[in-house]
Amino acid sequence: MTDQNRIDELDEVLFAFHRACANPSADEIIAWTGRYPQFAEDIRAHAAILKDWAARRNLPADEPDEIMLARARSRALDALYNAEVARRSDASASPRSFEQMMQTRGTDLPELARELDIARSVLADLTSGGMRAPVGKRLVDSLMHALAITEDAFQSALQAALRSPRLGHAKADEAPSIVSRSYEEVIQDSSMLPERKRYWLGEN
Amino acid sequence: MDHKTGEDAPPSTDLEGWRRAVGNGCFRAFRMESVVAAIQDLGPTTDKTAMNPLVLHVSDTITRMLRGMIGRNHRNQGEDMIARAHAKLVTAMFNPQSADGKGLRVAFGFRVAKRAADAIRAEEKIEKRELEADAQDDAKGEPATVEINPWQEVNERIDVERVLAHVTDDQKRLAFRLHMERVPVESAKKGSIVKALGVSRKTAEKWIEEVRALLATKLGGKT
Repeated sequence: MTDQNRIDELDEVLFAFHRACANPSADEIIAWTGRYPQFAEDIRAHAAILKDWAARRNLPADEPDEIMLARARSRALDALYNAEVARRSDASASPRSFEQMMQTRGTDLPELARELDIARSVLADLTSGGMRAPVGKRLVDSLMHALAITEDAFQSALQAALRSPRLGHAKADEAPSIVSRSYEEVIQDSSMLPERKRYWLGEN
Repeated sequence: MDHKTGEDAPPSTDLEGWRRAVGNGCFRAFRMESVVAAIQDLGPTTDKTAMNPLVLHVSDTITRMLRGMIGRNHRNQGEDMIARAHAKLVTAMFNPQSADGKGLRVAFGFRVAKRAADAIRAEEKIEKRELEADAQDDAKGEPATVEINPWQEVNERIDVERVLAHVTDDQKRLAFRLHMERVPVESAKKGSIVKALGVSRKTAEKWIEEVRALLATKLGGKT
């Protein structure tokens, strides 16, 4: 195990310990240190702090003063600014593709198709530039939710896919061609049951 | 540790919905996890009139929580620890793939608490080293051991907590707190202080006695 892996695993274990034990009892400490003997010392240290907090829970809470709040707000807006600069420089290089969005959410096309209960071919056409705009509202909303993206990000990814469509395999006697179809055509030509086709072509 | 909500937050990608929530102020009643999700999903380049109030709300909430959890018994009243933990959390919030970025989104309060505990632990290690160095310089002045009963004689919890906050060794505090909860020092049948702390009976008893003696010294006059 590398040092970074160990740090990540320790972080996960302690986070789970905090979520499971607001005021750890002796039995809970014994159970957690038994389950993760390699992190026993850290678990006991966090148990001590959790018990300190539990003991003070009903005592008057200490409040930050205005200076502390103002400094923290300034730090938060700095972090926002830095994130914005980084995002704009990423965006100017190239908009995020559907594949990148799926990767960010830890999913892929087959899994996303199963999650949305839609034919895989529909998503394949969308992501490979084979589906013309406009895309049906139901699919846009579902993808915004599933991929946690804004509508602007969806439209950018769609335009990027249309600008660089992926070609199918060329036949021996024909040049490879790009055939883009409308959303309705893609849905109608898919192998989905009529009921699902009606759903995806619906408005609400 | 859950953050309560008065009503349902808009979907995290619904910019119009969040503009409305910021406009009428109702975003303050939403779960903090929903606010973090909106910040991450709308993204840092979104409309500032919606984004800035959300970020400031998260900042204030984290600061209040950290101040409540990090005592003034640390160096500079714990303010440096709060600033470092806050900076780490708000920076990570804009990186949804980071551990803190994910943690704030699924369990906001627990994630802040975990970072506060990390900060306290790191600081206690430094304070302990400094105390040990001081102790070598001045080995005299052992606190007088006065027999006290913590349950009967020390009835001002706030005073007890103030004294315990100065016990920099977290294991000693843990041993004493379990002792206060009447967990046996050693037991073959049930959970004990010896098992929970992974130390010998002698060490556990020594730690408990040290904390008892400290309480007696500091609070003896009041009880």
